[in-house]
Amino acid sequence: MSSRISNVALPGSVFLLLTLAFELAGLAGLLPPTIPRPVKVVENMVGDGAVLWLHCRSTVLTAACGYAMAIGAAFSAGFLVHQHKALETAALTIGTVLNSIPIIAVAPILIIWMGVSWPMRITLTAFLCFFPIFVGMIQGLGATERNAGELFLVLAATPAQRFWKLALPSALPYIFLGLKIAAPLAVLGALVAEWTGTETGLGVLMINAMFNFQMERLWASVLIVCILSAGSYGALSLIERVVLTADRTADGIAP
Amino acid sequence: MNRAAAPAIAIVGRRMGAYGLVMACLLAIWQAAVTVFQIPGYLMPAPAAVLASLADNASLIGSDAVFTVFCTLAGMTVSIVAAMTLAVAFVLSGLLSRALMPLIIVVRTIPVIAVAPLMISVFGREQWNSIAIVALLSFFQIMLAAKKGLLSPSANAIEMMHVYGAGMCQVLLKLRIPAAIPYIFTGLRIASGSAILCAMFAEWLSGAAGLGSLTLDAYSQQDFSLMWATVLVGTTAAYLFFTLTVAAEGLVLDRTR
Amino acid sequence: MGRLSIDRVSKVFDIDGRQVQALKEISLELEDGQFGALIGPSGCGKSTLLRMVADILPPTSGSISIDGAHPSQARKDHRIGFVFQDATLLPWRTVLENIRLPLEIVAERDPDREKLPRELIELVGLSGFEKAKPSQLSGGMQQRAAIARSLVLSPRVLLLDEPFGALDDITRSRMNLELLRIRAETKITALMVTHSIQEAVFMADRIFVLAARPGRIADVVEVGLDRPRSFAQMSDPAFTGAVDRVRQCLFDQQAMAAIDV
Repeated sequence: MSSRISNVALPGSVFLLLTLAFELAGLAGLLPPTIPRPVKVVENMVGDGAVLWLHCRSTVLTAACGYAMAIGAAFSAGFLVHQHKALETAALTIGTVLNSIPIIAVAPILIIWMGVSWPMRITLTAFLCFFPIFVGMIQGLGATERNAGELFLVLAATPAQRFWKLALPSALPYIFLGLKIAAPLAVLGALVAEWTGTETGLGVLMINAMFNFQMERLWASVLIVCILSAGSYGALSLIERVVLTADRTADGIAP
Repeated sequence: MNRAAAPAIAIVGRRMGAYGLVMACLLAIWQAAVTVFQIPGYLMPAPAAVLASLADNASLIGSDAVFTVFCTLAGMTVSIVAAMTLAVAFVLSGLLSRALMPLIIVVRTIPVIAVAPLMISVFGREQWNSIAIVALLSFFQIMLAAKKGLLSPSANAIEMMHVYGAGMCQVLLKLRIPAAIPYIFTGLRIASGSAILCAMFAEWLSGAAGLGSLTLDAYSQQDFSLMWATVLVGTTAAYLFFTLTVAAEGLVLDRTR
Repeated sequence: MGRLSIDRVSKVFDIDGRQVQALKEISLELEDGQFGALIGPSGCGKSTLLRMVADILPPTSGSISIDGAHPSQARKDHRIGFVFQDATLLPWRTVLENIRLPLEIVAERDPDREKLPRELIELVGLSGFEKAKPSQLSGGMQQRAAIARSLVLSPRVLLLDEPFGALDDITRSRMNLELLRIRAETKITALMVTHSIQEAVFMADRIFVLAARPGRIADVVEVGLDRPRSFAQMSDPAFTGAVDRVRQCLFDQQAMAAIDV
């Protein structure tokens, strides 16, 4: 129990010390003008709260819709590939090719097709999230134990029973891994879409703050983005822990 | 050309050959689609137009590509040095590891590109920004891989070193670091695949020189052929970079194993 | 009911375009309620034979019948129970949910059957562990759960693929007794693959000794020991005699193989 406390207390105090060090350095005038004092950033977050909230909402909305769309697409594709094994190589190849197109090339295409609009934002986000979820799905559905597969054969289970009672539960640790990797990417996708010229969103706020040299606001919006992406990852880890028993969790992000 | 390098050159040749073949096929399908369905150039420029634009602007694209590759290399060098230093420190000091690793794991979940505007403000609009972004991106991959590698020797192997009276430094130099090399290369390989594209993104956002800005300029001038030409060069450079890492890995592992 | 008959079954695998004969002309019979054991050197195709009886693999030639029915029919009618070497419990289900799994797959609401999982838990001695997850059980307990699961649809034939191969010797002996008791209560026909001569003689009425490359039946040993069996019988001349005969047969094969080389 005491080690669990120190597991939180130790990094927590390091974080506080670092913040304090920046604060003191700022007070002593040692920081460049691009790095504001932490207190100023917090002040800005409170003072600009309404504006930040407005833009944050639009980013979260984009990220959530895009994420949901990616999950839907990845699950449908995964189900299809599971039912027709022959599609697997083709699906993975297409996925890899799409995934290797740089996002700065995808964004202009989507703008040409859809204009600077909500569908463009959501599609771009979904495009970024799709691949990790899809790969997790395929890997997971392929990871069914051979003996368990034979058991379902001996029991004369239908393909649907095999999918719902065996393949999908077996795949969950991999699916969660994909979902966890994709969650921060959803936030990123929303930001990239906003950088291409939308009117709302934290990305817009960031870019404008950068151009107008409003450093406190820039840091405040970046801080919110960090909380959103780390928070979405953390939230999924928690859900994963509830859904899966401890011994079934795939260990973190493999380097 | 010494003999040891021959297999590495063969790897590069084979992989780039395969890449060229796949690209040629994709471009051929794409060209056919554009011709058959008569897709207008602003929706999807034809590969022929893209290649023509590539030839017309060869020197411009070439110099920008060299600049981007230079930034990427510099960034990766910085990150290798930083990552190795920190990984060794973490392995030597359990306290340091327990204090900093949780923070690193949290920070790691944040996409580097999402904080790019902040990096641009802090590091300026010149090459430093691209270098910093590439360094930050690669740092986590390489550091975590190196740490895993340094910790990979079994308890038995460490006890064996202890029985022979090896000190901390000798365990590190003779056991942990050699054991970590394959892991480090895995980290490098993953990082190298995205490093150039990430540098392009940094340039796209900051307007610093390089392939990324060229992509943006081409887009704002509605020159879609040029835009795709830069993307093509960027993707090819990224793949070449990745392949060179794979070849270097083969070369080093051959020599150490 | 519960008769198992295998008639001149052969199996040829196609490995990278090379034809490998795994089993050649295997014939064997098990009467209703009999306990059969398959024993032989590694790679003689014991598990392959068992999987063909369970309709997991098709035979290349020959025929198999369970109560006069084709294995695929027997499988679809849930007349086959199968126990793997590793328990193959689904880790996300509790013991009770694992044992209920076959009922869910059959998906017919039969109130009589709904009581069975709990009765079986008692039969295999897992009372009190209904809500445990497989990872919380020892290897022996996991295998008990797997046996209960294989019995939940009241199969006619129970196929066991080295069910206790991964257990330590003491647990293994205890599980042998348990399985004999369960078999006595259910009157089920059983065919078990094993690596242990002692286990084969202790459990079985009829032992099929297989030879390798290609897999074929080298000898059939009838075990004339009374039931219920007990460890005391292990010093019985009938027991040691059967053990000697099986060992002799396996040993002769090895000598033959040495000459072949």
